[in-house]
Amino acid sequence: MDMIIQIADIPVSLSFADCDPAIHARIIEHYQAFLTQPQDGTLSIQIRCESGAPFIPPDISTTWQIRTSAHHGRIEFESYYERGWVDRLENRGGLLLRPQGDPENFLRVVYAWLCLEQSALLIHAAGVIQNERGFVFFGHSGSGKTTLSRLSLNHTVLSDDLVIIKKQNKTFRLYGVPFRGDFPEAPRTNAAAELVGLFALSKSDRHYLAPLAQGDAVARLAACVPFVMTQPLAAQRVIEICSDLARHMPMQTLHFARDNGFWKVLDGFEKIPSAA
Amino acid sequence: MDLRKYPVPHSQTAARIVDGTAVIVLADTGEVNVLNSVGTRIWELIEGKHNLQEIADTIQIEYAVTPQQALEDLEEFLDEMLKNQVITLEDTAGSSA
Repeated sequence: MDMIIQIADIPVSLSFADCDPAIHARIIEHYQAFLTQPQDGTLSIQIRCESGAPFIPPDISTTWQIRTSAHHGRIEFESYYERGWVDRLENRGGLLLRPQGDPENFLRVVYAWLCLEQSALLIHAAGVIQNERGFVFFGHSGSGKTTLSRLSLNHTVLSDDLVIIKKQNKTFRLYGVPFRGDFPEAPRTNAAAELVGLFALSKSDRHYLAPLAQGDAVARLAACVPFVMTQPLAAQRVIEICSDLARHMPMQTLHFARDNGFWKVLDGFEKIPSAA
Repeated sequence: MDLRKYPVPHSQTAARIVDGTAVIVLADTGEVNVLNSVGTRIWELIEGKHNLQEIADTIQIEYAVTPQQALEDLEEFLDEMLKNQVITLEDTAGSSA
């Protein structure tokens, strides 16, 4: 039985073989808000479930391991309980799951590459929509993305971990994704809005914005793009997209304390008219 | 360091100068770095047409430092770039990278 998810207007078809119906049902429920109808040209991925040894021996002393590469249109992926591939020339892929496995990390990697093909970026960042204005808050792990997301629940929180930015008709749009970080209870909101600003996060004892030089902004934003940066051509593309963003979109450092007062700073925030 | 060598960006390096600042991605790790103004100027000159002596001469003139200081700064910078596989050294001048 197939299901088709669509994130940032990019559809991917998932079909299941030899999978426990409970796993299938769990995956459908997980991506419920992102399901869509069949359409032509959709990347098709077959998910197969099979018992066996982990693909990478689990090691609790290290960070979560994901091995991925992309060469000549073929994306390879391997983690503890998942091994997958995508062939972009054939527009299909496969994912082998162990019983403990979950397709989410594989889908994160696949979408990182699919985004780049469309000059879009999957970014480690929190995303919030306030009054149909999209805000992106980026930074390294521990910079406060989850804290800020928890403090923004009176607005539409897209994610505390990953969002997609995509250029459309000379404007940039912010898209929600079904992927979560340390805030799993947040709703998986399939929403989008025009992006009005990107903010590097810095924890502080008060709320204020500080200028961020364009070069620093590009470097810090590019450093938040996962999975693709070790491929030189992809990294070059990422820098170019980030540079385009920095030219047309305000990027500042948001210093914020542990209360939602930072939204007062952002309430008056206006996007610089695009020169594109 | 052989000052007749020509430094060029490593084929695995991604880089771009953004608003006067060089943004460089290290090939193996995907780590993103920014260079200061002198580093950015050196990076601009690392395109295979200038050998190390010529680059040192340019830095000496533009930043009003002694030849010795220019060479020391350049060597320190290039050592780091070579160690991180951001550049390679060629024997002859090439076309723009």
